[in-house]
Amino acid sequence: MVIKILSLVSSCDSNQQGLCVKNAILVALKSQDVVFLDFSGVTNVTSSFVNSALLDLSPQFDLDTIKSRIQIKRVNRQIGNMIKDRFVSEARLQG
Amino acid sequence: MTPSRLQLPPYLIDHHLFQAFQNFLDENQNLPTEIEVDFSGIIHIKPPSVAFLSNMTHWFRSMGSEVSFLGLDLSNEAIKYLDDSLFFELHQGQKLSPASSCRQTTIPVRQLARRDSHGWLEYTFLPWLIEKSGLTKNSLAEVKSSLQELINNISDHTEFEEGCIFGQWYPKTNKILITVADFGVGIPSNIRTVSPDLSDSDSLVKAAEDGFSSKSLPTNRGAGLYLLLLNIVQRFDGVVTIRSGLGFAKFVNQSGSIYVIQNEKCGYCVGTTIDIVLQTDKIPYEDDNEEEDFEW
Repeated sequence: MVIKILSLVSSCDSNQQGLCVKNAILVALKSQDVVFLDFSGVTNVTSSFVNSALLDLSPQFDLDTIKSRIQIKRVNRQIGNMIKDRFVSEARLQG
Repeated sequence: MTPSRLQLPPYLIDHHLFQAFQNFLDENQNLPTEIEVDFSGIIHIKPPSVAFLSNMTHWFRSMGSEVSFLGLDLSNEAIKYLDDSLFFELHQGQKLSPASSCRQTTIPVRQLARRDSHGWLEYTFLPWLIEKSGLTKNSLAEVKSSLQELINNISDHTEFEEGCIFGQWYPKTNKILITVADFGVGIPSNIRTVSPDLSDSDSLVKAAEDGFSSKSLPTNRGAGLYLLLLNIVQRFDGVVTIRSGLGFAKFVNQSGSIYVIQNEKCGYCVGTTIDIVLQTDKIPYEDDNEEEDFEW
């Protein structure tokens, strides 16, 4: 299943927008093994968005499960680095 | 009652304005009901002082003081620069001269609320930055996102919804300077709720550590300032200076690592003022059509 980010939110700046995407991911993961997140048309994301959309899945799914069940498509440098940076930091904090 | 006068120093650069502001607060333990800001002696002003001066004026007014400006001689180049930056239009309702207009090299000083920030960044700031730097939207995505994080921080960490922003392009040196200022409680006060023994400048360094958060909101994970330094200083070889309270911390790139210069004797900054210096010829180019699938 493909979730097109821009079909859910107009931009990726805030916690609220991230929460909207997270809720869509949770619904999709109930019926799908792998969910594709399509960022086409998105030029930048904030840490607040990534935290709420992806890292906050961590109570239900550990970081490795998130990585294996969510595939991220069509990102530019900023979006790719932001997601990597946030997951590296979170993994370090979780020890 | 006679208004209290804040005499601006001749050179509104580096620490001078912050020291003048601190002296004024020291002399006026209770903030006066009427304040005259005297511009008559100013000779030179740099962009961070435009933003702080604007923020200071908003703060005085938010504290209930009436603020008026003196010594506004348009033959003074520094005052002309302020008028062209739309400083007086913002604070007095009109420009000193109808002929004053925003220069090609500046993005005018303005108050920016979080609710308006996305539109302003996307449709005003980014096109200006693209035009001045010659870079693409994708190349500047980290800069845009860093500014969005700073504006988000203002409403997350302060009782106010908006901050002041100002930008200046230096074409000869490929530099763009952006200042974001707010008049919230400031970083040291926030940090001391969890680390009470830190000095003001140490608290600025602490706030920029990866994962450190005062948890002003349950959703905060302490990433905003860390990512600002990672992107602007470490990846793009820029400089970030943070002032808040008595603290001063300047972050520079030294051989690929972030090096910090701290000081506690640079005057007082109400709220937080953050200066970003971008060296645009050091920002890696990325085509706007470049998208790829992400690998974990």
